[in-house]
Amino acid sequence: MKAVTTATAVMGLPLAMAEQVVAAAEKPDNRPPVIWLHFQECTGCSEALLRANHPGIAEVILELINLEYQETLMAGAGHQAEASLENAIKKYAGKYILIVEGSIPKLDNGVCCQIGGKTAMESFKHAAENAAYVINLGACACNGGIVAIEPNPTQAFGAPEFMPEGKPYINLPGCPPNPYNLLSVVLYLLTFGALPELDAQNRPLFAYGRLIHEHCERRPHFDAGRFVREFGSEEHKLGYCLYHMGCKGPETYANCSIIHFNDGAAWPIGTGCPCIGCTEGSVLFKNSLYSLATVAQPTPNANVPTASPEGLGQGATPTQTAFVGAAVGLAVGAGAVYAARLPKEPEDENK
Amino acid sequence: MKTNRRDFLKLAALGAAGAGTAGALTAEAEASSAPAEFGPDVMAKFYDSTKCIGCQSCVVACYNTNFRDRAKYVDEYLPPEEQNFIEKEDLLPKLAPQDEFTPDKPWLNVVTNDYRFRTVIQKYVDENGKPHFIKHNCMHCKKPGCVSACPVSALQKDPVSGIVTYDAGRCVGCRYCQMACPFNIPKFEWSRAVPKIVKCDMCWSTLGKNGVPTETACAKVCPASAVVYGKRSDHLAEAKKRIAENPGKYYNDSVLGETIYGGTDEIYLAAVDYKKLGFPTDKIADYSYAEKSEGLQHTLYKWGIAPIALYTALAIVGYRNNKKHHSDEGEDK
Amino acid sequence: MSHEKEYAVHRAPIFTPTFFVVLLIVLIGFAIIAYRYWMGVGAVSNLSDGWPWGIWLAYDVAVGSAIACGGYVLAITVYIMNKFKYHPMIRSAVLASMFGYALAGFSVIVDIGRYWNAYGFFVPSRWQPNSVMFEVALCIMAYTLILVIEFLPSVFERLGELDKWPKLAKFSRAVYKALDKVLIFIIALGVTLPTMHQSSLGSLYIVMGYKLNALWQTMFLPLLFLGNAVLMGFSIVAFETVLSARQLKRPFEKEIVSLSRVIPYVVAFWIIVRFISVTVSGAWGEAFSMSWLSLYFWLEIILIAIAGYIIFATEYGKSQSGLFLSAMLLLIGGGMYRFGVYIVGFDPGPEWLAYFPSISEFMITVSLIALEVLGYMVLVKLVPVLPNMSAHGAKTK
Repeated sequence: MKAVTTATAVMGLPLAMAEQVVAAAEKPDNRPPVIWLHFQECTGCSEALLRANHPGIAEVILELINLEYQETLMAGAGHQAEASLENAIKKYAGKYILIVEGSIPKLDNGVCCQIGGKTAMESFKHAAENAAYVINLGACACNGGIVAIEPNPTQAFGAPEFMPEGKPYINLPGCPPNPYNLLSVVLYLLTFGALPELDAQNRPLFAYGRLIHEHCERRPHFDAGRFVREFGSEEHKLGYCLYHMGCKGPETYANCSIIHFNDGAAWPIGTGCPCIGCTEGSVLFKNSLYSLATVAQPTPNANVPTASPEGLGQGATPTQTAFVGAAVGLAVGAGAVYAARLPKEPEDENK
Repeated sequence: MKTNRRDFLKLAALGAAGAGTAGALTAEAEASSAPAEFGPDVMAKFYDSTKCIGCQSCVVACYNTNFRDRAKYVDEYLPPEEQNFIEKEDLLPKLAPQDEFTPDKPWLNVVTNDYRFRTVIQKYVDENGKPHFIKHNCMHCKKPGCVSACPVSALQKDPVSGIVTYDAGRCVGCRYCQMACPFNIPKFEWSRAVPKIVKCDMCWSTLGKNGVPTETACAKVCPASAVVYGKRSDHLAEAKKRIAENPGKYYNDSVLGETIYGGTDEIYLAAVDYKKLGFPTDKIADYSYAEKSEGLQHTLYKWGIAPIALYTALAIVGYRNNKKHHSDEGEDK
Repeated sequence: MSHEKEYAVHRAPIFTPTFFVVLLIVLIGFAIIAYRYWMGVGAVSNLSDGWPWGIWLAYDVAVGSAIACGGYVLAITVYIMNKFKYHPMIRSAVLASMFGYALAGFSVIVDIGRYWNAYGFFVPSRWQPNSVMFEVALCIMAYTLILVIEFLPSVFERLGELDKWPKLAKFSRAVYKALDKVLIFIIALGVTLPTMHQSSLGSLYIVMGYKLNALWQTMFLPLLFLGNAVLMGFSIVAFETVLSARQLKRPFEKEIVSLSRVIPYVVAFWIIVRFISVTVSGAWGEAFSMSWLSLYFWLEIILIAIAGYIIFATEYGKSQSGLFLSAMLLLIGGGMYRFGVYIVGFDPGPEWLAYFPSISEFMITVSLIALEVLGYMVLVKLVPVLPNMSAHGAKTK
């Protein structure tokens, strides 16, 4: 119950909805079947989920979802495990939620990543075609992540690249993504039978609708122009803004600055580490960790401009004055000289 | 040359002088006559400087609505497929080179109203170190200089709401409106090949979908209710009430916008001299210069009588002279 | 017709070294103009939101059109005041006026931001008769057209002389005759329109109120601008006559000496109105404040007054040199008055830096003047514009 209330809050739904969510979550045998596939990844996303306490992982798999296949957690192994995967796909065809963790390689028809003799491409396509929804969990599954860094030796891509046409899917990027966002999405699917509102990159707006920058606890320092310029410096100790240390918060859409990690205990910027932009495919591992972020939604600085500004417009530079003055002077001087050279006798027109 | 001095130049000069003087006098008379009253449905923003906390939320809201996301709002009533390429270009929030992002100043560089900011908040610190904030935007004058100046009716004053609107589809970019505005409000996009005039239209073209809006971006977000949007008459009454309830709190116990430049739709209250807050109140008269200018023009060109009379006289005199000249030459031969 | 022999084609080579120097200036200016259309007005000029109007309007339109008033004042003199003695000078004046107004029109197209909307001046639903600018724009466009029509007789006269194409020649002679009959009504319009828009060039600034210094801001602006236009029109005729006589190595047209005798009266009238306007505005305190603006104000009046004095009271004023000098003083003084209204006396507020044209902005203006000079130099060698000195000289002797 508590777990569900937390998840409801993360989804940004009104508290009254919690009952509906509880009802959906507690309906007997209505635990959604979930198949969780791992490809080229570090299992960090799973690890992050394991560290969630509200709900704990036991609660999740026992009460909220019906986890049919998860390589890290399941007891079975080898051909037995593969057989159970195949069974689950058949049994719950069109009903189960597929969670993908890790990127899928394309090189030489995907030989770089094989499980039970099947390439990642094959097993993903097979599982995705029969899934009700696909959730791409983590930066690798969404955009290729660390595996796809140039020169991308395995030609790895995120799962959307291989998504069967028309299959509803949702991206939950992050390295790792916040486990509560995954939980919220699963519960949302369970409650409403549809995907939550998504942004242009198929990310749920309730979690990825705002910049980290917008709710960052160091934001006032940014507005006032108080920046950390060196790690370990006095400014760093004072908790100033990490923008100049390469923090990607101003261009990264995620709710890290609101819900934090480890059950709200900590998060990177809170510990003095700049954001690396892990939820943005175009930022993470594309821009240097210490390069300056583009401020996606610039705002005025905390200093209100003065009511009597000075020096607006473009005044004259000495070069301009000299040039124009010389030209005009030349013309007038030439005219005067010209007048002096003309005949000075009166012209009598009646002569 | 023995031509008599009954030459026409004198007559013409005298005529012009007469017309000019008469025009000047009539215009003076017209300007001094009481201008028409504000209509009952005139919309206005009411800004109370003493309530403003200087958070600049209104600046950001206005920037986002009318500059950054302008296309989003306009597309709602003018679908993109119906826009020609210039209309599309007009909606793009293009920054001038000097305003592009710099790491050293990762903020919106606000100095005063410009092509990005239809409204700005500025600060004046008095002798005691107390800050006073002021919101600068279009005053939506009762008799606006810009509307009077615009040769192609691109700037118009809505007869009901009094909102001064801008139609880029008509504007020729002559910038006479900028010259004519006593508050220096209309701004021009100097570094664009397809520039337009930018000024506050109370979100007429964005939130209002080319109609009288129900709310303005700035008033909607103000956390201190320092700026509110509504009917001018209500605002004026509220302003008077605040002055009556707090005698001495407001500068001169006066409302800015009641009489300046013949009256403006915008209503202002502040605790310090408006001149220090950036309004040239000592220079702007209590009547609209546009009334003077139009008075003169209307006198000189009423029904086109003067030009037509001048033309007729010139044509007759010229025709007779020309005929006479030709016959004289004929006799010479 | 009697005045067919009044004018002659100036027989001289077109492609002289001067031609190429002037052409070079024109090309530089047009390169800058191309850049302006690519990058916006702000990229080439020092214009800003405080100073939206700069030399393109102050010089090219306000001063340029005043200088182009030679055609206007000669039309008044010849046709309205019945002084056909000056008729031989009218074509060159009209040609110069035509170029002057074309230059003004051209610079406006460079100056305005949304030139593709300029057709709106012809759309009645967009008309805004309260706007002074609307009247000025329509009048200037109409007058430019009138000037072209006034100039057409010389073109048709030339075409009528061509033996190569007899049909064209016959047609041209017919058109020439027809034009000659109605031309006087066009000329009457050509006097009405400048009277209207030259005064309105001043009225433009009334709406600006306090932004124009009290030394210039007055309800007399239209009258002062009209007087100023007449003054500058006369002097440009004198100026051009001396210059073309000297440069094209032609005999001096002595009519100009008697024509210039009108100048002192106009000068006196103008200065009186100017003083009245300052009195009405209550700006005498400002005028004697010895500020830069007041010095500028006095310089402008003194230059005009000196020119009037030279012509009125001295024998030197009747010589070519004296005429040239006083015409130049008048042009500078008159031009200063217009600059005074358009730029010097204008002040949007203390927060704005004073405007000064940038080099590229200035070069555009220079190149447009160069274009005007180039056109004049070429056209006088192609069509009969200048007075026919052999016929005409014999007559005056």
